[in-house]
Amino acid sequence: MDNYIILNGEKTELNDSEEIYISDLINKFVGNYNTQIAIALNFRIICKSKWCSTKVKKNDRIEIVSAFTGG
Amino acid sequence: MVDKDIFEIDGRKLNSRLIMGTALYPNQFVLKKSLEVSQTQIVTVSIRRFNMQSNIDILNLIKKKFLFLPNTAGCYSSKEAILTAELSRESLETNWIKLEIIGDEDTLLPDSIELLESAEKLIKKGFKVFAYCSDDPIICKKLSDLGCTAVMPLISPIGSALGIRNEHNLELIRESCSCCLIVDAGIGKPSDAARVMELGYDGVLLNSSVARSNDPIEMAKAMKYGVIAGRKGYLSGLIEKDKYAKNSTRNEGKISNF
Repeated sequence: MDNYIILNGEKTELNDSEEIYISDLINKFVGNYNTQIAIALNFRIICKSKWCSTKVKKNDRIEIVSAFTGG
Repeated sequence: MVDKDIFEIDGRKLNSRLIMGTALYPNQFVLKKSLEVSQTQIVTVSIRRFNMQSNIDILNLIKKKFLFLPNTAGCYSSKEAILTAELSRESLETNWIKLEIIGDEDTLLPDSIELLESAEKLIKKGFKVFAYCSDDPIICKKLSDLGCTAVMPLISPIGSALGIRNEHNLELIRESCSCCLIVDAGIGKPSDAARVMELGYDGVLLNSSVARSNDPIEMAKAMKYGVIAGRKGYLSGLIEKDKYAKNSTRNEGKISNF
């Protein structure tokens, strides 16, 4: 398992044969879940307008976050 | 005059001076009901890794009723806090951020050095910073001078319910900072909330004292009244303390002058 990314802190394998974009990850891990999320790729924000054009590469660190309860 | 008292923050005119946290409630119903009865208009939320299994979808539960103040809770460095703030702005479409940088795991006291650095950077990036800080008048003044939207000194550690530990400092902070001052952290009981409002603070932010009480809904009401009572007391002009008694009933005409 050497072709992987770190998604929300966990090693996640990438499929060698296809290109993966941020939008693909969202579809796979968030789906149609009705919530507002934000994405950081290697500690930089990727705004919504760039989700479809931002390619994910081996060893990338991706954070998908949303609001939760807090004080 | 007192009844027309409006709390204005970042151009928003609010009727309530109570800001409520959304954590630690026993269930969603109690959370929602507690927020409603408190009549708060601003609630704090955190930014966390997306979790489809999460049983509380805070946004869908309460998003239409309240303004969200996202926090950077759990951040120990400026870098972490700034990324969290940027993620919150992207996801919630608000430039408000409750900036919280923890310096110590046991006390959860703020790291003032990281805080000042982060506040300056975030303000330059267009954020409206609500800075959670220590009750140190110098730090508070510096945060105020930086242009923080609100300076939010603790009165005792987060979740401790210890109440006001240094009232003198709170008075000094109120004297030296012209900005919006909101007490954040340490409120244990409604009388704590009332007291800080009597000191002239603009608002109170609390969470644990309501959420962890035996009856959060009733405690939320009590906190609402505490804040209102303290504010009305402050605006009405508290009388000065005196070392000696001052009779309230006049002596003239009493029958015991023999």
